[in-house]
Amino acid sequence: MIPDDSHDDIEDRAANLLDDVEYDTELAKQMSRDARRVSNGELAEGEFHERYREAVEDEFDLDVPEYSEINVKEQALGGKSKSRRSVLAALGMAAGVATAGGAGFRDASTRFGVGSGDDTVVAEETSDDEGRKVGMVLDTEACIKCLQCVEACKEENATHEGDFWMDVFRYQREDREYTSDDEEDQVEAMQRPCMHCEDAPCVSVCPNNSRFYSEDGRVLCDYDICLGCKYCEVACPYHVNEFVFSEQPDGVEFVGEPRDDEDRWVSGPPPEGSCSKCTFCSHREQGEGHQESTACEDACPVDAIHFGDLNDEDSDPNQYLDQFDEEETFKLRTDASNPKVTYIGDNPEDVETAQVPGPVTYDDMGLSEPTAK
Amino acid sequence: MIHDSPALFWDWMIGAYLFLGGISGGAYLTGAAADYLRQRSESGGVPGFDRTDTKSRAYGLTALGGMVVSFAAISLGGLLLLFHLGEPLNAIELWLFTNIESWMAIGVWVIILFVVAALAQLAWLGFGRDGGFGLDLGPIDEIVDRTRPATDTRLALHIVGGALAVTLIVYTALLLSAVAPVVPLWHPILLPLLFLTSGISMGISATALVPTLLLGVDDTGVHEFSLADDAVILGEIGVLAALLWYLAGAGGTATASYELLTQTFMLEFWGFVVVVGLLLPLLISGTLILLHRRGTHVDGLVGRAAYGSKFGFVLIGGLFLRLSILYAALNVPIF
Repeated sequence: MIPDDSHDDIEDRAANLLDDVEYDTELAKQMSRDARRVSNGELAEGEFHERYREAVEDEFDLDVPEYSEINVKEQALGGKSKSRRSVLAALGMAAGVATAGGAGFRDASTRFGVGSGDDTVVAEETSDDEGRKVGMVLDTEACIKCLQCVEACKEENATHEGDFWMDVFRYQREDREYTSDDEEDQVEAMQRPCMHCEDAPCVSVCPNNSRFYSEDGRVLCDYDICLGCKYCEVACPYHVNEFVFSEQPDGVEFVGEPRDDEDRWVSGPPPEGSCSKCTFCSHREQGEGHQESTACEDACPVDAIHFGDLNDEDSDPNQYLDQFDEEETFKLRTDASNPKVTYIGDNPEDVETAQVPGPVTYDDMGLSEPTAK
Repeated sequence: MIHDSPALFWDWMIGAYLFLGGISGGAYLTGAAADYLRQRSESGGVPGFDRTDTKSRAYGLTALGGMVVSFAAISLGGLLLLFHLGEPLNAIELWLFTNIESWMAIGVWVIILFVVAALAQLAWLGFGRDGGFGLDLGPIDEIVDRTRPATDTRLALHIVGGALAVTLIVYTALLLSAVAPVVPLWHPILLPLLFLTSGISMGISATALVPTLLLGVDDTGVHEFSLADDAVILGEIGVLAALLWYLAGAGGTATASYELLTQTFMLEFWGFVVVVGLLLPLLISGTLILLHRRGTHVDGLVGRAAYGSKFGFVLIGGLFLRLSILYAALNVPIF
């Protein structure tokens, strides 16, 4: 039997979150406790995996591989196998119950990610594509800093080694006391994709219009003509651009259509010497059934990421946003730009903050931490 | 949160490019002024200047030297800019540079027009009949002679070239200050003024080095250009002081940049920018003026060494100014 401990808050959270789902509440609670131990470094990820693998298979009718079959390094470099992410998603599901408020499992196959890919997407049809304006709502309170969004982004977009289009900052606020023994409760989280600004500074400074607005409001880069002048990086208030210094490692492939309807090379890993960034997974626009989601959204185990059409009041981000009062939301650096990413939580711009490393680090994920170049 | 620095992306190559852009614009202005003074000197004289053949020849040499320095500097700077690109071959598609919001796009067209203006004046002054280089280039001389406009027209074209030169110098600052909301050190008004004064000062110095080294400082206009340089340096000191005052009091990232500039980069800023680039040139010039007033005329080798050192110090200071402005710059944190 797995020993219990003082994770009492899980009882309440699980009761709320699992009240209206059909899955085994006790299993979820137990996994949640252990997921927190994994997050705290008290329990090995592999041990957790093997402890629950069979139970998860039975509960969700899924085929989850053994931990030893998972090639972590390959995944870190962008390998396309879904197994690693699936396991992490399972981990995260439990961790989500353990640590997040207001989140739960929407769909077990989505959370475990080993069901049919198409089934995992809740597609929001928009009747008028011309008025479509995609954006995101990110819940900083729900985020458990598991970095699955970071890994899923890297995996799906096959970005170059050391390049991250999604980031999760950990920090502390000076106006808040951190007295909990739980390390995860001692830090705040801030997910940082590209903000796809409506008046993007990167578009303004780009000399040859290689940085442009797509019809649905994305800010994209045409890699066929990008100069690699780095002006976009210098001008971006959010520092989201990655200059590509290296060729892709062998064996890493991007699965998807890199070109848009106008034959511009806008998705996937860019050529060496270009400036790249999050595209809101624009390649999904060229596929079937994935338009209303991104890799990071799909991977997030606690529903902290909501992508969709901001002009559609029934879209996922708008529906999620409706649950909160305006004072519970904020946007970053509105003095410098007009981002299309809205955050849920307390605005860190109002106070002094200090960046916090780990304990869930890039090393833990088998990833290289972004470094200054 | 931890500050990022734009110097991670725009390093010494961009600093050198900004330096050369400033020199190029300033050298054109100096050369154009010398060209005008030579014509005035030959056609009736300018009050306060001696009418001698020596001075006229010196102005001619200075005018040609200004165009050579201008063309060489912007050519080298352009190459540095090109090689800094991650995808330099994509720059061939010049017709795509149509984003008029981007100072980089504007700058590309300013550079192209400026190079045409500087090269034309360089050719008209240096080649063909009575060309300053004294070379016999056959068909090239013929083309130059056929295209060379009348002197008054050619001098009038300096208005266009001069306007482009000023735009070039100021653009090198606007390229940076366009992102001032993200990098507060790059103040949208003070940085262009700082680069303008510094660029003119560097241009005067680089151009005046030519007659200083080739003809000496006696009755060659070097002294006059040095005085003009002194006035510009005084203006530059005022602008720099205003920028420091603003940064020190603005708080946040601006003040963090101020501390980085004045403390971390103490040697580079106080040593090379302020002392070597601004104070030493004024000290040398002031000493020479004082000696002259007391009846000691410094010329010959000592004069060349004194003025040559002064001009060299200005150039060193100008380079360090731009490197400091790049490396001390900090991004406003995301939060």
